[in-house]
Order: sequence, then C-alpha cells, then structure tokens
Amino acid sequence: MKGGFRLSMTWLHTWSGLIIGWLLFAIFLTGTAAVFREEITIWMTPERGFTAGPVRAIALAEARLASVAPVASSWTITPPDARHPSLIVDWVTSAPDGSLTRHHEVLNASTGKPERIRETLGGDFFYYFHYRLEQPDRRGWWISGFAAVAMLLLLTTGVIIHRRFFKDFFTFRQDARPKRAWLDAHTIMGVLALPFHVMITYTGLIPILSTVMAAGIIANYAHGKSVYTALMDYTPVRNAFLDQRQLRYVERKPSGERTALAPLGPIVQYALERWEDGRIGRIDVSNPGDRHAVIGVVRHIGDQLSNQPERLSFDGTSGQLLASVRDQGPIVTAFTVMYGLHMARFADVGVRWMYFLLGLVSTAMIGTGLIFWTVKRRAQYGAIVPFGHLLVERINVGIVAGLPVAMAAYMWANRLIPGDLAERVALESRAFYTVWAVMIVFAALRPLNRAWTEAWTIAAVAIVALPVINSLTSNRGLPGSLGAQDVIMASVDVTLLGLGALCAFGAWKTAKHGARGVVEGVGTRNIVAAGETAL
Amino acid sequence: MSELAAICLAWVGMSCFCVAMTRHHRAVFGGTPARRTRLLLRVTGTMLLALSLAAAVSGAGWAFGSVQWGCAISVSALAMVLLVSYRPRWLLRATAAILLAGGLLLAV
Repeated sequence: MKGGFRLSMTWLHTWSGLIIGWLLFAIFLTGTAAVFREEITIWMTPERGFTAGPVRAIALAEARLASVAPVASSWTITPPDARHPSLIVDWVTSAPDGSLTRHHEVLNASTGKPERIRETLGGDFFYYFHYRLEQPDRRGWWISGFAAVAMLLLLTTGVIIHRRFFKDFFTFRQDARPKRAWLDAHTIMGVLALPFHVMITYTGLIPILSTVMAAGIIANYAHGKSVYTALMDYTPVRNAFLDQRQLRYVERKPSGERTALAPLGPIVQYALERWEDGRIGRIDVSNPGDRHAVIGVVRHIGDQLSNQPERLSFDGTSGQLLASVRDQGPIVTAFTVMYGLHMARFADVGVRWMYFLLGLVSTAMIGTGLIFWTVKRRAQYGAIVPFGHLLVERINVGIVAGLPVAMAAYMWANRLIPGDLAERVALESRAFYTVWAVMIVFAALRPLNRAWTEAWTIAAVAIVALPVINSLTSNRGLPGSLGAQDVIMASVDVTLLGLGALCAFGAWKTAKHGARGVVEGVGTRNIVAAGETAL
Repeated sequence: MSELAAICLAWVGMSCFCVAMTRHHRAVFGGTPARRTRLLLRVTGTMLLALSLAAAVSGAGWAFGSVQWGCAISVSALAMVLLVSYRPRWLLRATAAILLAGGLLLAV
C-alpha cells in the first residue's frame, strides 16, 4: 500500500468523492426536498380543496366508483390524512384482449365530484429524480444504488482519515484560513450527523434492493432469458418476483357471475374498531361486483416504523373477514423497518423537520467536500492552473448553486404554465433540466469568484420569488394562508423564504471573501486571470 | 412532541461535552477547566443524553423514541456548534433558556 493505510484511504476518499460527489449532491438535495413531497404537491396544486374526515370520504369514493366503474378489475381508495388532504380514487379496467387501463381521480369530499386540478408531478418529481435520475427502465436505480454504495465507502474512509475525530468533535474554526474553515465545516457536519448519514445511505439501498441486487431474482424469475437480456429489460423479471411475493394476500380469479358488492361502511367500521387508534391508509377492491370480489383494508403506516402495513381481506359479497396479514417474520420485518426509516412515512412534524434539516446537512457536507477539493488544490498551483482543476471549480458552482435554481425553476414553471395545457407535466420537468443546464454553462463562463456570488444571488431571488408568485397566482398566498391557518401552504412559503435567505447568505459570504473564500492562495485575482487565459 | 424535550436535553448534554474540552471551555468561560470540572461535565453530559433518550422513549415509545433521539442529538449538536463557533459567550445564556424550555415541556 503506497504511503500507508491512512494515506491510501485519503486518496480513495478524495478521488471517489470527486467522481461521485456531484451525483450524490443532486441525489441528497432532491431527496431532502422529497421529505416534504406531499406538502410540495399541495403547494403546486393550490386549487385543490379541503376534504372531510376519512369515513365520510370513503362513502363518497365508493359512490363515485360505483357510478363510473361498476365493472373493473380493481378499485383503490386513498382517504385524506393530515399531510395529504385529498380523496383519491384509482381504478383499473381490462379490455377483452386483456390489456389494462388505469384511471385516476381526485375527488371533492363535500360533493364526491372529481376536482379540476392541474396535472403535475408535484413533489413526486424530486422524489422520482432522487433515485430514478430520469433514466429509462431501471438504469437510474442502478446508478443511484452505485452512488449509495459509494457514499457508504466515503463515510467509512472519511471516518478513517479524520485524524482528530474526538479532539475536533465540536470544532468549527469559521474565522480560520479558508482551507481550514472548509475542512472544519465538512468534517463537523460529517461527524455530528454521522448516524443520520449512515442510516439514510444504508436504508436508501433497501427500497431499490430488488433492482440493485438483481442476481438472485434473475436466477429464479428470468425464465430462460440470458442475464444480459434480463438486465436490459429488467422490469418484467422483477414484476414476476413481486407478483409471487403478493401471493400471501387473498387473491381470487373473477367468477364471471355478477353480485352486488358488500357496502364498505360496516367493513371500515369493523377495521377501525379492530385497530383501536389505527387509521385507514387505503382500501382496495379486486373484481368489484363479481361474486369473487375481495375487499382489502390497509392500515395507515403513520403509527409504525415498518413500511409494511397490516392488511385485512374481506369477502366482497358477504363482507366476512377472510384473512389478516401482519407479522411476516424477522427478516421481512427487518427489511420493512429499514424501508420505513428511509421513507419516513411514520414521521410526525418534529421528526419530519429533523429529517429535512439533517438531509440539508448531508447535502452541505457533500458540497463542502467538493469545494474543499478545489480550495486545497488551488494553493498548490502557481500561475498556471490545470484545465481539469478549472473545470472542477466551474462544475461545482453549476451543481451546488445551480441545482437549487433548477428546483426553483420547476416550481416557477408549475405556476406559469397554464393549468389546462396538455403537455404541462413534461414542460415542468423540462424547465428544471433546461435551467440547470443554463446554470452550468453560466458558471463556466463567469470568473470564478463572481460565478459563486452571482449563482447564489440568482438562487436566492428565484426561491424568494416563489411565495410572491404563489400569492399572485392563487388565493392561498402568504399573509392570507397564515390568517386562515392554512398550515401546509403557509409552511411551504415560509420554508422557501428561509431557504432563499440561506442562498442570499451564500451570496453575501462569497462576495465578502471574494475569490479568497473559494480560491485560496497568493495573488488570487492574478491566478484567476491567468486561469482564464489558460482556459 | 416528545422530540422537543429530547432536543432541549440533548442540547444541554452536548454543551456539557463541548465545554468539557479545554479549547471550547476557554472560548465560552475564558479559563482552563480543572480535571475534576471536566470529569463532572462529562458525567453530567452523559446523564443528560440518557435523560433525552428517556424523554423521547417515554413520549413516543421505543421505536419512534429512538429515532427521535438519534435525530435530536445531531440537530442540537450542530446548532450548538454553530453558536459556539460564532458567539461562544452566548452559550451559557442560550443553554439556560433551553433548559428552562425543556423543563417546561417535560412538566406539561
């Protein structure tokens, strides 16, 4: 091992951090936003009304489904809860040739009529980007799985190479030389939030496990396809595996004989009594109106760590309880608890906010690591800075300060694109990618010290403007929403103002320190100028 | 809201650990701590962190309580370090206020 164990670990940490750091930064920042994905979705569909309690909502959904889809292969009802104040019905119809069509409606709870809300992915955009990375089929899952493993490597090597782990446990010398201050910021965030970093990274592999660890599934479910073909077209293989896992639920083939579906009211009442203080997460009906219909009542997972809810299955004609699936043994429970820890559906307001803040810390740790890479190296160069180094410095600006701008642009697009435009979902995500690309080009073209200040200023303005746009384009704007105790709307607006202030702080800081903050060394301005010439 | 009590207690506990170190003790109080003071601070810190766990677990059960506690330690330690790095002299007053708030939360 060249230069000893610690030195080679330093090398590994430095270079794998550089290669994967930008991707990790994007995964962590969008994942942090996804902590509030339901709230962001509500912000992005302000025309959505408020809905009544779950029991009444279920009755309305039942009536709606019975009128629009008396014959269907399945119905799903998602009653409103505190974070998600909407009543949602989904149903699947099958054509004679066996092809399935999915339908989705958001209902108004006082009338049971579908609401006219704009089409948008809402907060789910960040959630999907966070692990699918907008790649075809399962490629994004593999890339983010690779990134998660790399992050575990970075955390491990980071702990190994930190010489003064306990001595510098609380030390952040913010007034020291930039190199020292950046490293302190990087390590203090790494050390003090280490349990969270490890937890969120490790459990991050769990939801994508059946894709990331494909070998066992391909061996058993690829049905003679070659490994390469199975990997390139992995979704059907994985579905074959998942279908088999579902068999523990009561599943019956339709009989073809029509009978009335048992009313959902008494079944819901039964479930609520059985669960005492448990809530209803979802109701699904397979083959409604058929003699073999099965009604499933799924418990809300807000009161357990595990991501796997208890499920009661009832006979669809008599309403008799057929089965209850809950305990699935220690291995499955370990899996579903880790899954639940990552998804944080259990989290109440307090834990949700801590996840959000610690997610920002993880993101900032990655960002400061990327900046430290350049700050440390800058000092070693003379008048001529290698092109590769300049490139890293510019991409850092485009990713670290550019991504927040792109995320804000996505939310701008949500309000500026007309609500009834057909392809508005695609346009919203295009706004995100276009603005991000523009920010990366912008960062490459400006002098480095000004690039940071200007990018942070753009981010601050773009984010702070969002509550303003909200109050101009909806009737749920900031002062009003506070007065009306429209908690979710007001919280998103206030949080955006806070994040905008954070970006403004970044702009102020980089302007104050000028090039010195991010480009340490003698005669910085000359070096930057020289670098510009070299470029 | 057992997590608020857990955060308050974790803040005080982490502050004890912080000022038990000579560098931070000097920044916050201006003097070098005696060996006994440092030991006492560490013991108090450990007890407060245990109390923070107890507050979270008694309020939310073991499953949620341990998650709350794990997050609370990091959140409060990071906030405390931010304060100590920029305004070390304010730590004592801030901690007193937070201790009071945590006590009130526990009492309610």
